Amino acid sequence: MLECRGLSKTYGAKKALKDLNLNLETGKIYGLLGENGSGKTTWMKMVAGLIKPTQGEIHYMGRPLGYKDKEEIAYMATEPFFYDWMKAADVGRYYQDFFGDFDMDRYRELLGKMGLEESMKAREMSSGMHAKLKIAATLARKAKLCLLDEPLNGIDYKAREEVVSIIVEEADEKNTFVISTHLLEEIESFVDVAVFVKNGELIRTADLEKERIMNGRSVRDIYMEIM
Amino acid sequence: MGKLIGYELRKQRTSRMVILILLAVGVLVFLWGILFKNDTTAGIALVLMFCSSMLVLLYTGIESILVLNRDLKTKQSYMLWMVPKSVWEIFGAKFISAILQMLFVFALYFAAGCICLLAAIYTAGGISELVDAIKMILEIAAEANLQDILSWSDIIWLAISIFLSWTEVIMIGFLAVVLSRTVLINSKYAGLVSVILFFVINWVIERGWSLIDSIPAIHEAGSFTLGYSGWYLMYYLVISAVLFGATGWMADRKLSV
Repeated sequence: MLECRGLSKTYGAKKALKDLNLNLETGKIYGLLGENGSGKTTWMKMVAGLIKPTQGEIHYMGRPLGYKDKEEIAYMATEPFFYDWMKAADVGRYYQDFFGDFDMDRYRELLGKMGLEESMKAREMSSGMHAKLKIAATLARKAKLCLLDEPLNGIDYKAREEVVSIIVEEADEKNTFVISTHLLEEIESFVDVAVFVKNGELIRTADLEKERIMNGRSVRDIYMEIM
Repeated sequence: MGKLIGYELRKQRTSRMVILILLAVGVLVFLWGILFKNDTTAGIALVLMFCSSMLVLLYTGIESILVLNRDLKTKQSYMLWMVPKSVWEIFGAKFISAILQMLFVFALYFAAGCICLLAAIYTAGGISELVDAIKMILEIAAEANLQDILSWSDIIWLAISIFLSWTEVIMIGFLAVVLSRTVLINSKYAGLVSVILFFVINWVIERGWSLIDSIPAIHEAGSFTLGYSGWYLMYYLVISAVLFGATGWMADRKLSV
């Protein structure tokens, strides 16, 4: 569904991504793993259409990635990004206004599960609550490609379990999830393919089930070996 | 695009509310002054409202440019750039909302001015005096044959020229901000350079019109009292289109948030 060819991104003298080639298949959950500053967020923002590659191409569903593909690609940034004036209800309305795949009922249900109320102001939320709000808004979309940048960061254990169960619930053979995280143990149980990125380069991709069955290795084992 | 415009207008709602409240206070102070025969208070309120009008209109335009800058610089930029809309729609919505914001502020000041004028005439002699005053103004206008001094076409040209000047300022501001976030992104002085660019582009455009207007055939075509012509209109329309095209083109190819 998504093909990245020779992707590079340079910020001044710093190379955030170096000639990255990666193909994503429909119906899988990918774990994007790497140290801080390894290029995970840069890659996600490129696919979300927020930043332009310095070199290389991104093809989505066989055609060059364009702004209309944002109708099918959901991106959740790691930082708070809602407008200051927004309440949780406004966030829902905003998503409903711009994304045809947004399900308002599902959003309200997710807010409830996360312990949030529609009248809550995004600006006044704690970082954990804000993270939950971002997750609720993003996962209430029936996006074909869902990019979640550090979705489990800053939220309590119970909410983490909730987020993981929602991702598992939403994932099917028609969509694709990419989850960037440092919490290897948290994603071990539901991620199909781990993508390891280091210093802007794709080091390795690993089918986690195969690795477990054939080599008896967990995602943590592979991570510690190659990073 | 309507929804984009709605959200763009929302971003400047606080400013509109502040302007509305300050203007209401100004009108109330003026009314209080004329009701209680305190001419000094009424005069100060009127002068302050009049003097602030141009500054507030100028700020309204500058604020549209500052909002764009914020929409490119902060994490809130994701809200705008993650939606499935082209850069042309996004910049179009920003431009239209900037114009609407200005019209709203203009309408507020016009309404405040009308209220103050009517209140002043009314307190001076009641409804009959007000009617007489309007009649007198109309008679003076007819006697002076204002058409010879300032025709309707001149007034329309004046409105068009103000609109085009405003369009040009906003377009240059948008271009300068986009330049600072694209080709100048790695520069330490991107902000300062973009401000300088804003004034330089403005100067170049004005100089361009001066040069075109120095051509005798074009200069003589400005047959209206205020000196405007179809060439003036065409020049600024083309310049605005070029600025908008350059901004969109640059953003489409280079802009990262």
